[in-house]
Amino acid sequence: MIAPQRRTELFPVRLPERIHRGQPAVRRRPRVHPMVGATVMAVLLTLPAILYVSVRAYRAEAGYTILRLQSELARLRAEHARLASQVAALKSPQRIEHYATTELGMAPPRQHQLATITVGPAIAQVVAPPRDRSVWRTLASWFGKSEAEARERTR
Amino acid sequence: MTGRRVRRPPGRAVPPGRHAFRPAQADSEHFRLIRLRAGLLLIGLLLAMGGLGGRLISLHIVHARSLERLAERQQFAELVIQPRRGRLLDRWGRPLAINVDAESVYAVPSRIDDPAAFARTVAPILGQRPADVAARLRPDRHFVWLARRVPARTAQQLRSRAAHLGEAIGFLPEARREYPNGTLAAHILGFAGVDNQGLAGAEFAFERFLRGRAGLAHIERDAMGRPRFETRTVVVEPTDGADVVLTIDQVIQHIAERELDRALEATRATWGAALVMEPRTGEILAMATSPRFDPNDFERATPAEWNNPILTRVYEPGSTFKIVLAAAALDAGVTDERQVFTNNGTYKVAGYTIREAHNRIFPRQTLRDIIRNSSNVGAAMVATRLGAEAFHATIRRLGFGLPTGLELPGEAAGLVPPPEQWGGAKLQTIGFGQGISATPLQVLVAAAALANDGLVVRPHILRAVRDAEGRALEVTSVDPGRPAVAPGTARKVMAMMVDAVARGTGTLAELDGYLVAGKTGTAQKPAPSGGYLPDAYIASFLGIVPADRPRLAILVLLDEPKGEYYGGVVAAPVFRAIARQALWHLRVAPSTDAVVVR
Repeated sequence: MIAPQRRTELFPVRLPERIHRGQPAVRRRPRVHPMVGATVMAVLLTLPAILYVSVRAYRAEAGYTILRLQSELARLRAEHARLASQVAALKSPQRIEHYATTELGMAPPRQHQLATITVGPAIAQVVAPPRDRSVWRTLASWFGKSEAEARERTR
Repeated sequence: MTGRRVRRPPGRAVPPGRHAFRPAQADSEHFRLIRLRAGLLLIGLLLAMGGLGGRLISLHIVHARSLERLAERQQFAELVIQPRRGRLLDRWGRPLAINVDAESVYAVPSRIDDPAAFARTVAPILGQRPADVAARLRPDRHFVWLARRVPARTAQQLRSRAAHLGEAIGFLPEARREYPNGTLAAHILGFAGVDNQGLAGAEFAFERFLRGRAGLAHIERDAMGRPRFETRTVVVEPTDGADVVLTIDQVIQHIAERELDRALEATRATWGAALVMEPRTGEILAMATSPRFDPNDFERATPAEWNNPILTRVYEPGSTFKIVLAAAALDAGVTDERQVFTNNGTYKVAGYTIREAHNRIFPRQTLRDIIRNSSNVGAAMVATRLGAEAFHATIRRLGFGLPTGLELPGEAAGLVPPPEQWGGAKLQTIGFGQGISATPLQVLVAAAALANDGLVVRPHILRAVRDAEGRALEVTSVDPGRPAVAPGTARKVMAMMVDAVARGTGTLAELDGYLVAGKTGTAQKPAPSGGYLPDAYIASFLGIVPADRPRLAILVLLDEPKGEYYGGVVAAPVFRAIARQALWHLRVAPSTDAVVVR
């Protein structure tokens, strides 16, 4: 088979260096090592899974903690109820009376040992301080305070 | 070895001087061995894969449904959240019935080797008979209750002594109802059953408030069977039972019970009752009966002992009923306080002769005298003048013949025969309280109406209902009352009752510093075969104190006292003791200048 021979040839030529006028040189993206990339990818893929598992584990642990605390609460409630029962039993009138009459040598008071003190009039003598019942205060009471206070009349 | 070719890398020839057939033969045998092994491995793998596939088919197709159900049962659970039963409190919030956690004991009979030995170990601690325990331990059963809600001490004892029994015995926590005051107010409180349901008394009557509502939650379990809290979904929120505040005053209840017990001991009466009520509001402050039972151990009492006799037992009120007659006569205007009834100690009507007790004679009596002397003849004469219709109408207006409406269960209506059946001397005997029956509560409510200007108020024992946070859910409002007799009539009868205490049969009820209105009663007990039992009486005293500003209405009743049996002798002192201490407790000041309409 006959074919024309290629005549052109390439020769290396040294050209003058290009002058950059104010433009930054184009930086080549540094090549990332494949292992680093693989590691990053692995981390990116596994991190959500790890987070998910961690959250689940934390929830489960918190659940067990709540259960334990609930159990503790129930125990404390039971203890409280038991103590309340003991307190009620200790404060029962029968026990107090028995203790007072047998251990302390006490006896019910007789009529002449009782005195009646009248306190009603003394309370009635307490005078309430005067109150400002101006129109403005009344209006303020209507809008800003209570209706009852607004309706209250000065004695 | 035809057909088998040894592959050799190209360019590598058999080294010179060696026989070419020997290496080829060795390789061929080696490869055959490898093939054999690979074949076996492949078969093994295929078998394993086949097995696994079969197992997969079995699990996912053949047994899928049942396994799914099993997994659901193991993993998911419905959790019933039990509510706490509400408490019973007295009027000042002091606990009368509370919940205490207790332990229930169960056995696993299938894991017991020697039931007889097991029973001998366990039964004495539980207070049961070994034979009874052994009878329940059937080997085909996996669970049997030995005792429910045992005291903490018993559980502890059982744990220490039965440690060697291992898994044959177990404990479960359960809530137990406890009554910290023991027998105090037992008939009012009643008791709750083994499943915390009210069975008697207030526990039964207020069950709708006390019980609460159980909640429901769905929850997943872990491999160890523990619930996983984070998976809990509450379907129905539980509601704890509400606290029920009663009108009972714990101290007054104790005073009433103590004095009643002393009276029963002194008089050897078969039973007694003391009822304390606030006449204006109808609040029951104390409702004491003797003998009583311990609600903490109610199984030891008989069902008859569980009944509240103040509500369930009817009796002939006897002379205390004369105040009803006086009110009816004054209200009808058939007599007044000045009119004099003369007699010679007997009163004959329809062939019957009515006499005074001990054949006393009160020849000239006004209505006030009749009440003061507790005269049967005088009462019969007033009843004759009043007539059956008017008397019956007043009796019914004062609440006899119908339950009063107290919230506690089992209240009897009493027996008030219609006027058409008042033949013979019935009208006259009813005038002094024979031939009619009523509960102690009805008698007290009628007396309280006289202290309340003639208004009958409905007695009640429920003061309020509070939720777990203490907010009032329900408060019993004060009953305005319904008029039974005119206010003037009520005041006049009260004055007669004051006179009966000051100068009549009830002098032992007098109280220093307080004006007491009261009426004694000594009623014969009817015989089952008709007529009345000889030497069997019910002694009673009905009082209101202070008469000028009534705070307490009290009824004391003693059944069949031995020796002295008059109400004025055996019941009036009990009234006085209860009234004096209750008034002190309520800080009711004595009044030396009390004025009563006379």
